[in-house]
Amino acid sequence: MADKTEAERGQEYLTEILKLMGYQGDVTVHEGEDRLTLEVKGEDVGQLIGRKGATLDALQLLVAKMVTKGAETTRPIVVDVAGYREQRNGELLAMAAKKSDEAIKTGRVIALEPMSAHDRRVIHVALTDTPGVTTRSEGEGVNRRLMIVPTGPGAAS
Amino acid sequence: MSATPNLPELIAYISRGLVDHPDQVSVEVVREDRTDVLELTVDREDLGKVIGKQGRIARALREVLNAAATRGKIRTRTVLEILE
Repeated sequence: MADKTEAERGQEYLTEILKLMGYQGDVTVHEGEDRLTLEVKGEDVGQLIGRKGATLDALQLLVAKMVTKGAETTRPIVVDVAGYREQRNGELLAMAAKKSDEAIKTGRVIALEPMSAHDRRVIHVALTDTPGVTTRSEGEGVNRRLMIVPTGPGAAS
Repeated sequence: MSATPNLPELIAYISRGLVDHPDQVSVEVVREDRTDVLELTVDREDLGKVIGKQGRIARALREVLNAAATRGKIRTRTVLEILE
């Protein structure tokens, strides 16, 4: 097992997990410099995404822990189905634009729904260069959510 | 054509990949009323590895378990308990 690369092990673990979950999916590896992406293709695999990507995130966490067990440094491992990650990022960017407009227009703090660390980060980064708003996170664990705070004149504090 | 989920082996397989003592991993299925309880047992030293900080790993195991149960149209409620 020590002879196998992270990519080979990730592919092997995810393939077996999918089989045990009752899916017949193929796992393709995309080697990036900054990340390793395991993409699932097959019948019905869209069901693997789950609510707001919850099932995909769970698989990603578990496979990453299995692959990196005992290893010092490693690239992040991404598990994706049918381009879901990119699609979700697009949705998050659209939401960031809409909600920041709303915050500026109303002068009120907008609380977004609870999201994963990754999703919060996407919105936070997107709004870093947006004038008139800042972001901060509130809450703990799965209830942690991003707040969009207007900074312009007339903003309610 | 789709395969049938194997829920106890699913939990056992992932757990063996997470722990330092894979030979100490076992999953027992206990039927309680209309619920199947999957009792995951690991070496005491490995408990943290299947639970994780703030229960993150345990939550991910339950998420994957529920997704597989839904996939298999398993009517019986299936829950995961982690034992020492």
